Amino acid sequence: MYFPTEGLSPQEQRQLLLQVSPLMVRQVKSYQKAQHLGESTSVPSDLARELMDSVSYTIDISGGIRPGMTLEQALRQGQQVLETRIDRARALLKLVLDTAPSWQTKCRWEALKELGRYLKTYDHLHLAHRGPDGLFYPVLVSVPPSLRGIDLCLWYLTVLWQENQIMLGARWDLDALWDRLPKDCLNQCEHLLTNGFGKLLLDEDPKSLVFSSEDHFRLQALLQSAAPPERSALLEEAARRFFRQIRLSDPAARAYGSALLPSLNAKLSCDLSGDLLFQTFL
Amino acid sequence: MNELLILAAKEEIRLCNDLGKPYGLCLTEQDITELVELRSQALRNTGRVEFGGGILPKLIRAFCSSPYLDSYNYAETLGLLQDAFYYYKSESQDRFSDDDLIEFMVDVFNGPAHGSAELLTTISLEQLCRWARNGFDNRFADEEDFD
Repeated sequence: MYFPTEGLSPQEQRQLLLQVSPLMVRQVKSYQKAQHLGESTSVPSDLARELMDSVSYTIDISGGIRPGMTLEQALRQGQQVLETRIDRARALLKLVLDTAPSWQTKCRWEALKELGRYLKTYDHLHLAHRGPDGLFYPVLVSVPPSLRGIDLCLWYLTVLWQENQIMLGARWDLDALWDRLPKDCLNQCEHLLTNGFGKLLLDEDPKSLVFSSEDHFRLQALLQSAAPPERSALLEEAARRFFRQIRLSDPAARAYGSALLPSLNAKLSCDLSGDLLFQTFL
Repeated sequence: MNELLILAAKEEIRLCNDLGKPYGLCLTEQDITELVELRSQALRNTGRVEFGGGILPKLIRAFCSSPYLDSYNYAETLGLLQDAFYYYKSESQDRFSDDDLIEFMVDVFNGPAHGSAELLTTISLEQLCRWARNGFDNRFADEEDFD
């Protein structure tokens, strides 16, 4: 079990060590009571590890142990921080659900259900480090590997809210685009952004999101005439114009949408002579 | 931290010597050290962790009045009972509380096992699983069940 103890003297650190065992005895008792289990002095090793991990995570989340603070006090403080974050996550979940587009994919709905289930069952007192699992909805940015527990849930909800803002901002006739989506499409926002950027590359109104064959050939000609660095600059400018068009003011949501650019750039740096453009811009 | 836990466990057992005194039962320092070491082994073998002093104080409290314990077999029997306890705990997947499990062990030890801790291990495993599945009722159990 590790928790930050910077600023504590060796004697204070030793004092803390003496507090670990009684604290964990209390945590085990509390966990067993919460789970309606009989009282046991011993627990399986896996559970012991998880309970200790939870204590470390909780203490760390409130900034560690300060001089003069007992382990119990640090744990309580961390639990209060967690309770605040749980409230924030619940509010954010409600916002995301209330603004979720009705045409989102099943995968996205499943992710929202899983986050709701997680918030209902999250045990911040004993297993605080556990984050939501079973989230298969692919978002445009990588999950920060250090995130755990309620912070991971908050991160996902924030990303979904950013997607909602993008999708709500594009208040156009999207049915034509959705009709073209592959059956295994998991993230509609990605296609919305891709086509939106593509239309603005052609200097066209992105309200008509669907690409015609002629659009593909024009885009091919445009991109082939530009060196990769120029293509990248053109795409970035198209993205900026797209966000202005949909009046997306939240910088975090813009940053989220712009996270698509590197992968799009990488695709468009390849040979454009085949079906790549047809497959990328629907 | 391991050393601190061992020291705490030894101290808890030392305090329990008062319980055994009326029955002429006492654990020496060597007995205590060996029992704590046996406890560590038993926990390792059964994949369990104990943050406090351990189950021995409860076992001492429950078994010290047994007519089958004397000063010669006290320490050794406690070691076997401790072993059996962690084994049953693991086998039962924590479905029983410590107190319930110890109560059952006392009944069997003082009853059909006639004070044999080795026999207790053999007999009680089957009984324990049966109890876990169907519930244990002393009224309907007979000695054949323990064969």
